[in-house]
Amino acid sequence: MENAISLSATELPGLKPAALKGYDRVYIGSEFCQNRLPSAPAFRGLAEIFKGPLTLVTPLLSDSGLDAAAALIKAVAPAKGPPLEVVVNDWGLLRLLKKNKRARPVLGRLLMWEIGCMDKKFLNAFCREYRVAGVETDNAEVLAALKGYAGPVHYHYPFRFKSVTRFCSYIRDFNSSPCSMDCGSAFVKLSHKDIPEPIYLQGNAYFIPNKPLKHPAIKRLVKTSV
Amino acid sequence: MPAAAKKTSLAPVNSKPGHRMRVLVGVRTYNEAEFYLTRGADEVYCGLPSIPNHGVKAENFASEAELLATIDLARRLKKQAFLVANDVFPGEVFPKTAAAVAALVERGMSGVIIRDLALLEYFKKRGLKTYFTLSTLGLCFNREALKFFRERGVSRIVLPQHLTPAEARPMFDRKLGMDIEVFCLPLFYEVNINSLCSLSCPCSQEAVTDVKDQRAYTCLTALKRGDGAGSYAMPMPGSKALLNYFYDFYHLGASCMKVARGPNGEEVKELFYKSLLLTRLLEKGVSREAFAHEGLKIVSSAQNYGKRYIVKRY
Repeated sequence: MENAISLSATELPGLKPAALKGYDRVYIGSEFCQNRLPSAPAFRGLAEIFKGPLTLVTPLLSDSGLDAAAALIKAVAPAKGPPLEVVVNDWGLLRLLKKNKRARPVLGRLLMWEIGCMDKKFLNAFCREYRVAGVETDNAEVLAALKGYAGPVHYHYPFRFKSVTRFCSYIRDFNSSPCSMDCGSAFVKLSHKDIPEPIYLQGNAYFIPNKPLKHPAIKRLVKTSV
Repeated sequence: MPAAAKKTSLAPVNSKPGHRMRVLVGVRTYNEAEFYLTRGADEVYCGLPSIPNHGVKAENFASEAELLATIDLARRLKKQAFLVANDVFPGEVFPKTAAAVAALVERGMSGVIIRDLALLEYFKKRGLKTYFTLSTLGLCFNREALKFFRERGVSRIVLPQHLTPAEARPMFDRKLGMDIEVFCLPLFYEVNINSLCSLSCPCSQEAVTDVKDQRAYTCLTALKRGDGAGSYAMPMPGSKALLNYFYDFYHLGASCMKVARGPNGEEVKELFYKSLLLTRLLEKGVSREAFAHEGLKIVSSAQNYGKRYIVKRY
């Protein structure tokens, strides 16, 4: 089992190598907000601190976000050696990466319901066509639905994704607008007597607590840094 | 295997001032279809419980026979009737369900509203053609995603509500050849991205007869913050911003305005009339200022049209 840690771009300044000790891989970026991608220098700085493989994480993207993500991948994907693993949550980015041998897509959590329910014969052929290296999830129901999918599954904890908006509560605007990442990496607990369980706000997305799972299909556990 | 259905011809994308937007309404009965198609709607869409779609049971037709009659009605009126199949078909039912969709297309449906990539592949492999609309649940947020779906046979997309006109502008490029459908945003806006939300909500509940059984709308509830910073309301743009977005989408060349179906027929009727009024204002060529001024009188809240489960059909 591979163990990975998922970092927010806001955690990179001042990050110490000790914080990454014991992990086989580091995820950097966001599946939920296009303003939370790292800069190319920040990504390279992380590669200096952590000598293992890195995974660039990307969300749904507007056209400007797509341009930024494509430029970032071009800047940081290695010219030689194994391709950069990129978590993709946007069909447009997946299309762009189809012929880019320097990057290898993994389908992210925003697509997990889509592909989890999908006819597996079609899904496996689709994943071969797009060189998809795996699927991210944080949900046992999706994991069960993925039965028949031929690739590896990466399981996220200690939070399970519940919802997302592109209209950010911090900037009171859509998240292609300028932002200074005031949301940071904090998870803010939200509750109400009529809501069955507390939810957690992180940036523009909502979560509930989640525990790691053991399952033959799960080849990697991804812990979100809190 | 059904014979290849002919691709339906629809009005091309048209960004000329004063262009007419097609009006699409979600219906649950023949009578509803007749009501809307004779009062300004150009198209209706219809679901069946046996074909996976995003609606609850009360939003679907009760029988295939009634749906077939609706197809014939639309034909007689020289209008369109679409099938909504905007959910992913699970593998175990895929062959049977995809064949049922193909049969309805052969029977005369004007097109299919879809989400499942495998269904597009099914039609392509069999040489079947129809007018495919990508549901807003399909997550098409940029020009490359639009090309991704165009290559698979999609002719129209329902623009996600969570895109501003400035963000969506590249998708309206006529060279991309995609018809673009929009919601009447000032009257119908979902706080979080619809297909990516699994928060507690009555929208996924079947008919609720006792109000105490109805789930709360998490997205409309004032939540208590655990960090002591008071309460938190899930954010969305204001009515004036949404009126401006609708104005801009029209002027970018949106070719269709959608009135979503709902389990409460009277609410859908009111939403239809208000949405039609706003659409006709745009088609008259009113200024942005005049549109916002008049629009604010028509729009009281984008959250007026939730699912309140008065499921009596008419």
